[in-house]
Amino acid sequence: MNKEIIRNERFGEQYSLIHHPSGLDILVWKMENYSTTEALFATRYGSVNTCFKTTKTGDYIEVPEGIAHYLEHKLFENEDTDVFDLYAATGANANAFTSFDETAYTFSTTQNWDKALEILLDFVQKPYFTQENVDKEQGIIAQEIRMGEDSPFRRSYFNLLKALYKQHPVKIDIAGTVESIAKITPELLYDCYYTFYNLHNMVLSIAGNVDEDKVIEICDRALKPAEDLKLECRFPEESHGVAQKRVTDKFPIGQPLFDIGFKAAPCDGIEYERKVCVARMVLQLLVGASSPLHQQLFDDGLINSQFGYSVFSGSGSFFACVISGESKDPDEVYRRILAEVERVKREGFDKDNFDILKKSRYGSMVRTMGNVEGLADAMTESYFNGTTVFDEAEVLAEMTIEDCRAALDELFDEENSAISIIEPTKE
Amino acid sequence: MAVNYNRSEIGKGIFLTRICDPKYKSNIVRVRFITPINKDDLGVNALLMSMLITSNSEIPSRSELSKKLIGLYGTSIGAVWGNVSDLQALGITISTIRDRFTIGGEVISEEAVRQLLLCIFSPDLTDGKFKEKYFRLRRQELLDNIAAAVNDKRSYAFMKAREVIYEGEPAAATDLGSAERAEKITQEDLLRQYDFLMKNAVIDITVCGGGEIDSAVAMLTEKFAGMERGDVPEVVYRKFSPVKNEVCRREEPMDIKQSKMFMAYKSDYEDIYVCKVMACLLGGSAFSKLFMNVREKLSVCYYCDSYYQDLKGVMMIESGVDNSNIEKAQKAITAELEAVQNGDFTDTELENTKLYISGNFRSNYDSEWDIAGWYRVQATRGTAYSPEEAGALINAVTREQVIECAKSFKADTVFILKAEEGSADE
Repeated sequence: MNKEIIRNERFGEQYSLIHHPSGLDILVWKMENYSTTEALFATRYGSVNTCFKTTKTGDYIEVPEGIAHYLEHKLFENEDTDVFDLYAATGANANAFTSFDETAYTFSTTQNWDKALEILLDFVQKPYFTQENVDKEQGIIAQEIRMGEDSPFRRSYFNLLKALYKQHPVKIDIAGTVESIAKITPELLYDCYYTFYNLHNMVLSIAGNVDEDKVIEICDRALKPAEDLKLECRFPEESHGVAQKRVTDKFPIGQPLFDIGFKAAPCDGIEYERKVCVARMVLQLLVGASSPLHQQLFDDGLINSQFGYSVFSGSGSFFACVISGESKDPDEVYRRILAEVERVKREGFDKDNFDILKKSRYGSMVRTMGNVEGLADAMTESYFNGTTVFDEAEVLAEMTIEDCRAALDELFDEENSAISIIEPTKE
Repeated sequence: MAVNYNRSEIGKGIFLTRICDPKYKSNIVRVRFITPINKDDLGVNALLMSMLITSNSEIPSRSELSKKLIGLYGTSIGAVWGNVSDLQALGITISTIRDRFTIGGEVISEEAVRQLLLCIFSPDLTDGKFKEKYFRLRRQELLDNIAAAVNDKRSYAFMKAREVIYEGEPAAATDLGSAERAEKITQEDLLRQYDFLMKNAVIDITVCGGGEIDSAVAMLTEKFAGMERGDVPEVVYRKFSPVKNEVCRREEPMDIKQSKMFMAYKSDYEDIYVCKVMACLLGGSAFSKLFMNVREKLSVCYYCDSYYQDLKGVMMIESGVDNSNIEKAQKAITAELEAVQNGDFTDTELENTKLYISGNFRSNYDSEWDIAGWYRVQATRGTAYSPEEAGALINAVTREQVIECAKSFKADTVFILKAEEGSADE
């Protein structure tokens, strides 16, 4: 067993990274005086991982869309009992989620964290799929897909991804489609399970009121050593340009919604951390509440308090800057953003604004350090990205306004941009 | 686990709650005005809060005020509004990191609170009016927000269901009032409500976080304690909603894929904690009867939850269901409630439910936002139980009490935001 302490002097905080002999890496952040323990047992496996190979498969194989999410649902069913019944005796809140590039099983509890951890490690390592239970789940997931279709925000976002990406599977809904999930069989679920739920492809992340020695003791007992299958995922090459510049849809809503996206090249490791950090800052400088463009858009009644922005990214897989909101004229918002990008390329960003935004980002990191759930998530995310929770602070400290200006050309390339609009069904 | 909690009246109808635990990295200051719901003023009051956070007499520009706060390590300011039982609660919140976590120990808490006080006590008025430009933009934003209520189908269905469940009561009103009223709001309305809230509303101030904010709190206390106040009517939070003579069934069609169904049951059962256990046993967790049987075994809903709204004595059962399953879902939900009424649950189910609730109570300690919310809710009940104390009340609930409580709930309303025929299979 090999242990690293990941420490940051700036925040006076630290956590442990333990390389367990089973092949699993374990992250533990002990938080004094907190009541809650938050755990994530996560695999680097999400909806985009539909084409892969291992030492067992030989060549690359392809699986139906939505299978990672389906697998997440099915894993909660053991051969002899329902997992939620087991958790019930501990008082823990259990859940799971599947994203584009990660699936995680979680619990949060103020009591019996050790028993909850045993349940978590046990059921995630014990798949049980039969034709009968796979068929039954199709009804529930179809209902979940339909529920998602009732969200205009979700519709707008996925329409944007379909517009931005020509090939990449990130354009497909995480849950798949009613048609694609109909192709899922117990055999396919087992294939994906044994590929992606290999401990070498997973991480256990625990933050809060927890005892590290006890975590290791439980892991020693519960983890089944795994052979490294040298998993490789393949993504289609995403060429320059977008699939569609403008996509519209109709929905029973109050006023038009929009998502504007700018696609950029993916990357990984510390380069990824830098790119995400710079992209966040550039978005704040360009359209944040303290930017001139934000003020103009607000003063002209083109945006309201629903306006927002985010970096949409997966390490080594996809990367985009997304600006969202409600507007009576989304096309005009898009036009003004493009014009502002051109202006800033000529004139540069405002230095005072850059300086206060750096402070603001720092304040935001301080807040994260007191958030049990946020830290368990952050440890997992940075681990999968090949970085640490503290790298963002270091990147931020070194970032200059010139870095932001230089990133504009790649991050905000008009040819790589698209707009998705949801218009009201009724005027 | 414990926090330092203290609540006192610092002026006529002005309450200051201080909650402190040094483990928190930030401090929240929330000032709320609480007043009986008046349908005509709902939108006016919400708009007033938006105006107050837009600018103040010292910084009369929205973007400059934003910049000022962002420069204070991302201090956030926000307006809050919403109906609580038959009352409207609205106010302004700031959140700022503790001075000790700034680079070089820069003191920011005093300036953050000073800006909050300027927003409340010294609004950006010229000749007794807000800036016309901001007024028009914020009023339009209010109209946008009213129109946007339909965007999230689940919360829209909840809003429509509330209109039926609380028909004839103030609580039936939507949080922001009607678009017709919002269009007619004038600057005079805003000023009238400003004076009214400052003089006649209950003012509830919460300072919650890691502390080391005493000098800022002293400024806050001095300012509020020195206010000129008029009559401040006592606010009554808990007012049971009367049960309808016959179950009211309403449907509203919409172009959606999945129907959203609300079934409301009412009771005047006094003990909040017994009601909480009963509602959670029925459908408040992933091992509850509704989740295990209606969703997992029968697969007739994607979600099916129950929860208790103590201030109105209402248990809400909420589900997302395909049209073809609506009847089956209603039968299955009713059967599960009857099972609880008949005592058809094991001691283990009951004990696990109690464990789950009391554990969730304690988790409030880990966030300044959650613990502030916890004590805010306690205040509406006229109590100040800590999470452990409330947990002890949960643990004392007996099987007999749960059965008695379940039997006291009567069916009142079934509201369905219904997927229009044909839209489910598009």
